Amino acid sequence: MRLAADIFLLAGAVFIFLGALGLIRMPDVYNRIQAGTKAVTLGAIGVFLGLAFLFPQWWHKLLVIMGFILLTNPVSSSAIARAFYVSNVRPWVHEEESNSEESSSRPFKEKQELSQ
Amino acid sequence: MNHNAEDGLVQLFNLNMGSGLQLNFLEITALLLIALATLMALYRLLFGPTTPDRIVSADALSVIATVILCIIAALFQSVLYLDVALIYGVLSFVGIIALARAIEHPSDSNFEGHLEDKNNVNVRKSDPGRNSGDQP
Repeated sequence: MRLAADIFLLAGAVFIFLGALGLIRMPDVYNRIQAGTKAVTLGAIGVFLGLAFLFPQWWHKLLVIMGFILLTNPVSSSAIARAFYVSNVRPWVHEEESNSEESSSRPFKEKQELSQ
Repeated sequence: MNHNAEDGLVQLFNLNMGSGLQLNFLEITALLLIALATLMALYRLLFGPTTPDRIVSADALSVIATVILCIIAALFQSVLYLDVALIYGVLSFVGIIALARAIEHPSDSNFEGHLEDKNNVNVRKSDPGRNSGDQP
């Protein structure tokens, strides 16, 4: 029981660490949203599972917090990403692609028309 | 040898908080990884180049703070910190959604001009005159 709790806790901590590392290493706001949302959410789920194995009498409250984070964290970061996209924060393009204007700007305009 | 190393680590960090929970090596490693993650997200929050980076790292830090509150509940062996963590998660979600609405509809709050003028966010080239005269 303690070993299962430690394995879940360590897996969750590793995923939280990798999410924060992606928050440092990624080149753009949108990439950082992806890293900081999905990896940190999975890490939080792992840590809550580990705590539920460690303290089995707290499972209902941990289940409520786990479901709440699992539901609301993708919603909030999707709202943030949509708000950035609407308020003209440019996505990061690669240097070779940004030299040629047509290949980088055409799908971007199609996305813009689709969102409005 | 391994047992002595674990005892040394536990006594070095003094993490059992006076409760009966003795931490072993895996749990101390997990706590150190979460501390490093908090420091890296805090670095992005403090020295982020633009305001959207700070907002994204604040969103990630709210989840990490919820996790840390649950770990504090486990360390103190008190159920009350789980309620604190749940309320913190609810309030941070409401705050992030309000911030996203304020960025998305700038006619209500004039937030977008503040975002672009102060921190030099790149504006798309296809709409001219957006903040073309603002840069000195």
